Amino acid sequence: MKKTIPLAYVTMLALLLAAALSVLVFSGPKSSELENRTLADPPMLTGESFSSGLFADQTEAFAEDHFPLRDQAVMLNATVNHLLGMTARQNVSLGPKGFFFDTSDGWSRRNVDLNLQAVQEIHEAAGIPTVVALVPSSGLILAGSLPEKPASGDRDELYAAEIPEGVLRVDLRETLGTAPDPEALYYRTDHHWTLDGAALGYRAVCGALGLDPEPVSVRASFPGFRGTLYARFPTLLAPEDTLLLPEVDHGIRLRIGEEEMDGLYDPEAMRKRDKYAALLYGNHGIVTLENDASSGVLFVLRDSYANALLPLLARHYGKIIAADPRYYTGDILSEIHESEADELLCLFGMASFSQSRALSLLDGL
Amino acid sequence: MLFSSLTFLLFFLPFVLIVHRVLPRALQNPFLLVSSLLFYAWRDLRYLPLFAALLLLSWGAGLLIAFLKSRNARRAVLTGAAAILAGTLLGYKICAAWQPYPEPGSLTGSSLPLGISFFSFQLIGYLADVYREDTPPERNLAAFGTFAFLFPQLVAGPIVRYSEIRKPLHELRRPGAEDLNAGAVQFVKGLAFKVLLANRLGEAWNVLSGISGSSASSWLGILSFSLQIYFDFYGYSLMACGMGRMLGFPFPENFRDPYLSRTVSEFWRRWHITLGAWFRDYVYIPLGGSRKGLPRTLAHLFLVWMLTGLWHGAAPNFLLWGLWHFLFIALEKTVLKTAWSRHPLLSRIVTLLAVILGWVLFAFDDPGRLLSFAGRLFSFAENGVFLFSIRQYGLLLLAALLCTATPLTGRIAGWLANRPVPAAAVCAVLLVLCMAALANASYNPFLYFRF
Repeated sequence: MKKTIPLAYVTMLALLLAAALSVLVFSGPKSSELENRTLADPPMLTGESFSSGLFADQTEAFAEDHFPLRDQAVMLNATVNHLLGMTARQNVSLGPKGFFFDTSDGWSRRNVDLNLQAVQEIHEAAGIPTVVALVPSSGLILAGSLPEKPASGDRDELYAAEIPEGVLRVDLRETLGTAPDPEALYYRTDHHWTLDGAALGYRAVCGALGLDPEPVSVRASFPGFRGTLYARFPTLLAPEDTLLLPEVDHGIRLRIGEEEMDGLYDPEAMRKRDKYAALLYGNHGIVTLENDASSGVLFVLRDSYANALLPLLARHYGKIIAADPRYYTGDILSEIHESEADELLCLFGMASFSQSRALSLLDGL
Repeated sequence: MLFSSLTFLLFFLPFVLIVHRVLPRALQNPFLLVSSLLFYAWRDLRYLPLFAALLLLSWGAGLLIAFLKSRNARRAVLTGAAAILAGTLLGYKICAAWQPYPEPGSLTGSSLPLGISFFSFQLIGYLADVYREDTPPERNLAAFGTFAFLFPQLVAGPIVRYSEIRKPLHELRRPGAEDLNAGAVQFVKGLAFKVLLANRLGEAWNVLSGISGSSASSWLGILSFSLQIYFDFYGYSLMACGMGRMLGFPFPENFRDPYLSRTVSEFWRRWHITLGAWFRDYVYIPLGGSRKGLPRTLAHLFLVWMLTGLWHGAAPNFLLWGLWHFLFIALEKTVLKTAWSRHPLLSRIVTLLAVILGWVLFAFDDPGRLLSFAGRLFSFAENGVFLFSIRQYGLLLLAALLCTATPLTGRIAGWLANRPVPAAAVCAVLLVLCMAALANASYNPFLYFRF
C-alpha cells in the first residue's frame, strides 16, 4: 500500500521547528533598531523563577523578541491591521494624507506646570534674559487643514499654563498655525517638525532674542525617512518622508561632552531608517556648538525638537550650550553659571514637555 | 501555558508530537502525562498538588465504586467524591468572583486555577459513568492521569468523556496520514481563529465598549464581542481537537455554527456542545428530564441554566445570563412553540438577538458598567462617531461574519480536502501570520532610547 506523506502536518511541524531552532540557535541582535530598545535576555531557570511564573514570562518574552525576521513579522502584522482599516492603534493613529499622530494619553498639563516652575527657578537663579518656546505637534496644527480632526493628545489647554514672571514666551502655535502650508511643517511618519517648520520656529525665536534671522537654504536631502511614529505602527504601506539638512557655515563645530564631532550631522544615522537622529548626532546630555565668526553665549534647555533649529541659531552666537534634561546628570544651575551665558532659551516640543517631568527633576533645583 | 503563545507553539508542541509518535505503547501515556503536568505547572505550579489530590481521589473513588456491591455504598462514594469536586470548583468560583485581587500568599491565589471547571466536570462525569456501569473504571493510574490532564483539552475543553477515549488510551497511538493532516489543518484553523480574528475582535470590543453617544457604535461593539467570544472559544476547541487527532485521540466537536440556530434551545446544542451534553446527561436526565410534566420540566431547566451560569462564574451577571437563556427556552417550550415552527426566519432573528443581548450580561461583571452600556445600546443616539467605528472595524467584522457563514467556509474546506498541496500552503500561510501576530505581542517601541 502506498504510504502518503501527511503534507499539511509535516509543513506545520517544519515551520514550528524552524522557528524554534532559529530562536534557540541564532538568537539575533541584542537591540532592535525599529523599537529603539534592547531585546530580552535568555531566561534564567531557578526553582524560584519557575514557581513564581517569572521563567514562563521570560521565556515567552525571549521567544517573541528573538523570533526570526521579527521586524518583518511586526511590519506584516501592522500591514494586516492597516489593510483591515484598524488604523487607530493604542498610542498612534494613522490619519488622512499619510500623517501619523501621537495619541498616547500621557500629555499632562500637570507636567507642563511643573516644568515651567523649574524654568522659573532657573531663570531666577541665573538672572539672564529667558525665552520659552514650546513647539506644538502636528496633531494640533493640522487640525484645521486635514479633512478630519486628528486624534491627538496635544490640546490648547496645555498651552494655557502660566509662564513665569519675566520670561518671554514665543507662541509657536500662532507661528505654525498661520503658515500657508501647515502640512509641510511636520513629518508624516515622525513626531518632529521638518526644516520648514524649524525655519519658522527659528524666525520666531530670533524675534524674541532680538536677532535678525538669516535665510534658510537646503544643503542636502535624504529620502527614505520613516520616523518614530511609524515605528509604533510600521505598516509597509506607510509613506516615506525626506529629511532636509540646512546649509550652515562649515566653520560651526559640534562638541558632545569633550569630543569634537565631524560636522553637525551623523552620516551613519543618515543611512538608517530614523534619519532625524542624524541631526546634531541625536540626543545627549550636553552638546556645544561653537562659531568663531560670531560672539555671545546662549544656553539652551531642550529636547530633540531643538536639533532641527540649533544649527540655524548657531550662526548668531559664538557658543551655544544645549542641555537635554532627560540625559543631563549634572547640576544645571552651576552649568549655566559656568557657561557665562548671556541668554537662556527653553525650546521643547510639547510632546515631551507634557509627557516628561525631566526638567523639573534636574539636580540643583 | 497558553496554546496561543510562542512558548507552546515553538518549544512544546513539536517536541511532544514528535516524541509521542516514536515512543513505544508503554511509554506513551506516562510521557503525555508528564508533558501535560509540565504544561499545567508552567504557569500554575502552586495548584498542581490540588489537582493531583483531586485526581487521586477520583481514581480511588472510581475503583471503589466498581468494587463495592451495595448500591447505597456506591452512591455514597459517588456523592462524596462528586461533592468534593463540585465543592472545590464552587469554592474557587466564589473566591474569584468576590475577591479577584486577594492578598499575596493567600491560599486562594490570584485567580481561578486554570482549567478547574473542565477538570472537575470531566472527573464527576467519569465517576457517574462508572456508577451507572456505562464504563469500567480505569485501573492504570498513568492512563487515568492522561485522561484527566490531557493538555489539549485541560484548559478550555471540550469536556471529554472517559468512554470516548478509553480505547485509544490503551493502544499504541500512531495516527495515519489522514488523521495527522486533518488534525494539523484543524489546529491551524483554530489558531488562526483565535489569533487573527478573536484577538482583533477583542481590540475592537475594548474600544467600542468605551464609546459613548453613538448607539450604533455600541451595537457594533456587542457584535464584535459576540464574534470574539465565538472565535476565541471555537478556536481553542478546534486546536484541542486538532491536537487530539494528531496524538490519536478522537475528541468530540464543541461548536456547530451556533449563530445559525432557530431557537435558543438549539443554540445550546450547537454552542459548547459538550457542556450542554454534560448537564443533560448528569443533571437534567437524572432529575427526570421532560418526563414529569411541564412544570417539573421547567424547574429542571431552570436549575440547569442556573448551574450553567454558575459554571461560567459565581458573579451575579453570569447567573442573570443563565436566567436570560432559561427565559427564552421556557418561552420556546410554551408560548412560542407553534409560532416559532411557523415562522422560522423570525425565530432565527429573535434567537440571534436574544443570544447577542445575552452576551451583554456576560461581558460586564460590574453592574454599573453593565447598565451604562445597556443604556448606550438603547439610547439610539448618534454623535457621528459611528463613521470612525465602521471605518476602523467594519472590514474586520465582515471578515469574521464571512468565516461564520457555513456555505463559504464549508465550500473552501471541501475544496481543500482532496488537494494536499494547496491545503499545506494555506496552513503554512496562516501559521506564519499567526506567529507574526504573536511575536508582535512584545513589540513596544520607545521614542527615546531606553538604556
